[in-house]
Amino acid sequence: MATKILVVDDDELVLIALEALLSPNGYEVTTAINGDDALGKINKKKFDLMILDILMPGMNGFELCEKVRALDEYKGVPIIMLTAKSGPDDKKRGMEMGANLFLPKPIAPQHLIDLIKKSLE
Amino acid sequence: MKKIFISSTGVRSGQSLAAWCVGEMLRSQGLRVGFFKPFVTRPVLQNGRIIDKDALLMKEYFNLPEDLSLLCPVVPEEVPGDEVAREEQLMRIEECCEKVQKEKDALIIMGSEKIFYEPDSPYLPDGVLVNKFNAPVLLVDKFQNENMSMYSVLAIDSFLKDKVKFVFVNQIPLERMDTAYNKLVPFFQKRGAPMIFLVPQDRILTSLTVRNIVDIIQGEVLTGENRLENLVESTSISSSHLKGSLHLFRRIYNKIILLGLEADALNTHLISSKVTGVLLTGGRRPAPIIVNTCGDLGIPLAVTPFDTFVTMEKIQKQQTHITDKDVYKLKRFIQLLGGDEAIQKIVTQLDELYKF
Repeated sequence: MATKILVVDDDELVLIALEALLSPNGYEVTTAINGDDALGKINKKKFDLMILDILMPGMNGFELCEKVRALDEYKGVPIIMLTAKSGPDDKKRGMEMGANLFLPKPIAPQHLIDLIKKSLE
Repeated sequence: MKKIFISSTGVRSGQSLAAWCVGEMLRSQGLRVGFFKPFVTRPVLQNGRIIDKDALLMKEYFNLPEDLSLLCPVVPEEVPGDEVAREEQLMRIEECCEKVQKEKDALIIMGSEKIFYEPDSPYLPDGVLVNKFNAPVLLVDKFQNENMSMYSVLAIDSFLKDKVKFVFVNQIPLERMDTAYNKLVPFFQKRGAPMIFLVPQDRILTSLTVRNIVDIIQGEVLTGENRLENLVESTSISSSHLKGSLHLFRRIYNKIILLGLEADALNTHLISSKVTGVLLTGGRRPAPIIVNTCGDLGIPLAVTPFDTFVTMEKIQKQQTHITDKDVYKLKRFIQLLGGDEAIQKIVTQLDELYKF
């Protein structure tokens, strides 16, 4: 069965880009345009990995990450924060909220694929 | 004044050729073209100072009066600087850019192949520079597959807030051109931007001429002067000890055969009219029979003072960068982009961007 990845970003371009990159690599990609949309999708389906943006209207990536981590079935699911907001304080906060990886945008395609594979091992 | 920032998704993407090509396109429209590259990424030592090969190429080809230290001012340190050092770098870059754009109608700004995030990079990321110069971006992407190209263009365009206006997807294998065209062109056309150009892999772009090689190995041409513009696709090393392999050379096209110190009558067996040229290494004068054979067949024969190892090293190094002598590559690249039609599209789009 294909590995299910949820990508959350308020920029549609990023969603299209990540879907274009990950789907041909055998991942089943679901996209969400904001935190509420993501939580709705999480309730319907269990994902194996999540990629979150930080700066989003309404619920930001930190808050979403914290909420996801509070769910029993998501305690061990890898969460990657992929963001343009990449200062040391942001990274620290991301890790405190339960992210496994904190990656600055834009990230090279092969590098991202390698990191996803490693996170899923 | 029009500016265009040339960035790329990785190394050896064809960024230098793309920058040269856009400069030439703008010059062909009667514009006074300038060049600026903030960071030295292709260093070479000249008269005791480090200069950048791209800056040298553009200075010579476009006959730019500015000193190379203005055209490409910052030699990056191995260890990335702190915030203060980066601010100082940025100030210097801005000062130099101000100077090089004087009396120009268009400025080509070349990035440092670092558009994607890299920790510990000694360069300021291209993203920072694009925003600083507020210039439209031409992104050069070395093709790996269609999905990687789509991701790269969209991810970078999103990061640069729609500043990517042109994309050259470069070095597409010929057998993938149809698939790439059918997948990439409609996809970006539907979005309305950026303008995308597909460039196939091409043997002329990856080849050197016999003259290029003779120049870089300080060769003395003994025969075949009128065939120095022939393209060399690969090189083979031979010696009279390798009798078994000599037959191979007869059947291979476009080879430069490097003959070692033992060059003598035996080696004439491997010289045929299909050979592009013969270099004799080690500074020895060839036996008359070799000169006569090459002369009869019209094959360029040159001698070089360097040994075979150094000669091969020089040839291989030359293949990874372009100089102002590679005008044939410039012309070929423009042709592969679509010739006059491509020039018109790019120039018109730039005019549109700078209309207001």
